[in-house]
Amino acid sequence: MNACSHAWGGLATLGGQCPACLLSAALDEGVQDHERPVPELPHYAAFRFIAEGGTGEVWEAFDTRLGRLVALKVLRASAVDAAAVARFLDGARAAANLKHAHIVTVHEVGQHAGLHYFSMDLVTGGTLADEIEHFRADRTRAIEALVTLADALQFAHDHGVLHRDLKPANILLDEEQSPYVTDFGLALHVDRVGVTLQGVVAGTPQYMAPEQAEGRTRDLTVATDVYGLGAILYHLLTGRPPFLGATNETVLEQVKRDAPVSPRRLDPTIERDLALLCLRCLEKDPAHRYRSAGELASTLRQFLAGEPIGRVGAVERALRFYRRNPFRTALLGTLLSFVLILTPSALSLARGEEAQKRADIVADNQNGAQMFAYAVLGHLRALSDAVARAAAEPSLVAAIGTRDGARLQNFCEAKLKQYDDPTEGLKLDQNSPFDTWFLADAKGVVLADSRMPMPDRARRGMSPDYAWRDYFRGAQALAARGLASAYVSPAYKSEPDHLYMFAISTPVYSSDGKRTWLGVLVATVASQANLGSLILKDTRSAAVLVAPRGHERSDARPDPPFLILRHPAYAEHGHAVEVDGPEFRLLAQKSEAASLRVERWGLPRRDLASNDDYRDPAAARFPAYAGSWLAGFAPVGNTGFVVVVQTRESDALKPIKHFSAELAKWIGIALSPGLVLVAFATLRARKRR
Amino acid sequence: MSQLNGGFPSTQSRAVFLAGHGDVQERRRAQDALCRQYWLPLHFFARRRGYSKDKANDLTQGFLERLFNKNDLACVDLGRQSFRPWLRRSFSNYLSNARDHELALCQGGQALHVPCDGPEFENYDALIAQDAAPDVAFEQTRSLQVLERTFGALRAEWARKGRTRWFDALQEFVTYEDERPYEKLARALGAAEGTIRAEVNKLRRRYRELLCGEVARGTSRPEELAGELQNLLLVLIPKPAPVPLVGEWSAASATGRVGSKRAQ
Repeated sequence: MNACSHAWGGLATLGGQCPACLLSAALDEGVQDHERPVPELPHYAAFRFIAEGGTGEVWEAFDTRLGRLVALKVLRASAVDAAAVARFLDGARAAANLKHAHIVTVHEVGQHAGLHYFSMDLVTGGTLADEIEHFRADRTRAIEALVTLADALQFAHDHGVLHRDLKPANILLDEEQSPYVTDFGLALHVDRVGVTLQGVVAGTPQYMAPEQAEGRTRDLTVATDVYGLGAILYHLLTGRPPFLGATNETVLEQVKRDAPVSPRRLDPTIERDLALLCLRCLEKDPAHRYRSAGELASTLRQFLAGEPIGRVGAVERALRFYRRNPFRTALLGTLLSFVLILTPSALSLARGEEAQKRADIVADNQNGAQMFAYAVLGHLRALSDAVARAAAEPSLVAAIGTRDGARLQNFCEAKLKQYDDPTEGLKLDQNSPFDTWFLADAKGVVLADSRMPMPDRARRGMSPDYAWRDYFRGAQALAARGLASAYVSPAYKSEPDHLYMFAISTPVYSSDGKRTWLGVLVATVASQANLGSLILKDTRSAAVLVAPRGHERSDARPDPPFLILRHPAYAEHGHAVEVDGPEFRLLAQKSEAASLRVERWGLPRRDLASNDDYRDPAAARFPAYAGSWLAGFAPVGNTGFVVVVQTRESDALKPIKHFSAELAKWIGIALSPGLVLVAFATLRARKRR
Repeated sequence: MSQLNGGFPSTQSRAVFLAGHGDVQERRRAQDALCRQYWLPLHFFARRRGYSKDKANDLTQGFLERLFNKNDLACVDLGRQSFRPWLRRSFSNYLSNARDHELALCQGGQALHVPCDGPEFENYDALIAQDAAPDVAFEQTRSLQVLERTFGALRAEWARKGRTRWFDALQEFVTYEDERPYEKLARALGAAEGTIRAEVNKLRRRYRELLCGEVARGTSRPEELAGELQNLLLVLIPKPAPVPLVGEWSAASATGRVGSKRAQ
């Protein structure tokens, strides 16, 4: 098996091995390095060179008193300046007081023939530096090793000792690959920090904490060792130290200035929590690292147990990000505040503008409705005057007194042909605002009708009795009080021609001194008559006249809905659409006053006389009027009529809505790349989990 | 207890001192120890001077008895000279005188309880070259004895722990550093490779410790240990160069790396 060049061959008493090979194995190669003098010390037989550290050499030696192997650290002869000796002895004495299962025990610190040395446990599994890749391949084992080390460091800290030079080469492994902290070569008692080594940069740059790199020895605390543990963890996770550089100087600069590359960028399989934990150890400001090695150990244990490790709050995370990337944070902050402050304020401004515009339009429409209502009232007064004067004409009084049918018929027809405009003082042959004139006696029986002679009416089977109509009752009421004014009736559907209309009626009295009530003169105005010039040039708006509905012969509803008497959608006279709503019920105040006038209640309350989501009932027949309207309402004096001025909401708010939509669109466009990135990152994170 | 001359700490120095200066009981025990340690090397010294096995045994016994009876050991100052060269020189002189005067028989006095026969006589005779110089035969015998004692102690330790099976499987790895065969071994022992590696490391370490202890017993000062180990090795390596002997070995005399110890 072991083909060696020695002549002995395998001896059965030596397990079949060659004696020369066995001796070689014991000596290994160390002692054969003849350039290196074997240190001569009492009790210690150094026979095998192991390694060379910053301040001295390490030998495997046989302790002749105790008959055991030890590691012997001897101060190198070339490093015998006072500082090196002090550091060497400090390290030895610091460790000598630490009895911990995972801190290499120092047995003896001594000096012999000018040679400083100390003996310690021999740990023979090599150093962590040699096994980085093995540990990296088994992350759980790497973290367990870190937990062990952190516990050991906590123990040292509890005894007032800082290590200050943690690195993989200072972590020894035993046969079972269990780690041991050694080489407290730079370790100083916590209470002595600053006494020596002031301003001297001591340590290994790649694993050195920033406060060490800056030579601030007074600032070294347990956080310095936490940094060292973090640097080791970083190396175990990523396979490289936190900072790399061609020279120690460049590495030192990076340690002081740069944020380490996130471990996840070097190895995306590293868990986010673990990477954050590692980066927290490597914070530039010691105050932001874990407060103790013990805290780090327990956090790592939590991680191993699969528990969520103490996540930092969003604010803290943001602060950390800021500390690592101040310029990027400033830029991001500006963008974020732009989005967070400007966007809502712009949108709220747009919404405010919209609300204001809406209120303005409603108010305008209310004012418009008020003005139209005055105009309509004036027009109705003129028509009423015309009817009242006609009723006082002597020819009519004479004819009704004698019940002269032919003369009454002629009177009605003549009135239809010639309209005596009371305001202008003109007699118009055409364009009479009235559709019909007719005459009834004091019992409501029709005596003459401008539409057709009475015999024709009788032939058609039309009832002569209209005592139940509102216009007759209105005139009857005036006659009861001996008044000669006119009454404006609610709207109704005419029985002879089925058109919607309203009537102006007035009592007719005898011309003798008794002023006996003889009958009622009635003039009707069909719907869509141009009362009060209810026409708006603006096509986005509409002016509408609504009248209360009178009782029909066959309709006994106590509160019948209203009728739209005039609407821009109507193509011809006689149409009407039913409408109802609280505005109408409130405003349509019909009084028993003798004359048409604006009642004492005057202008209606603005909030009650408006509706910014008014639905036009005409839309059922005229789809162009569908949708929401901004409407203002006003009563037409004491007639019970109501004027509505309405503006289509979509048209009125079009510019402002357009502005809002554009704003929203551009904010969306501005945000979308960020949102896409966030979504992408989230998806990736989920996938990884 | 007698005062130690120069305060030598090792068992060897102490045995030599007590064999010369101790009271009767101490002297007896120390003499027995020295006999056990040097009988075989002295025997093969004589054999390679041309004596037969029996003659060599007689001469060895005669020499040792004379050494102890005449209390020559009291004159040895181990602070100034090494014990083994002195012993070889004395024995060589004794043999010369014995050849001249044929003084080979026991001269009475106390009998030395040393096994004069055993398998090692034949084994060593076969191992040590017939034409080896007597000094070389002496040193080679001693070297092999040190190793056998060490290995025996190692085996006994593992046996005490009830791990003879493991020892038998692992013992060859004390010198065998290639780690690939662990795979096979792990299967055979039903253990993880990591465990095997750890156990081998423990075995090697303990072997070194026991060897150092064994060698330290034969040295006067701790700083000689490395040199002694080196000597044990050098006497076993077939020479191109003349074999340096104990006390004569120095760093300058060795030529570069010493032999291969690795499996090729």
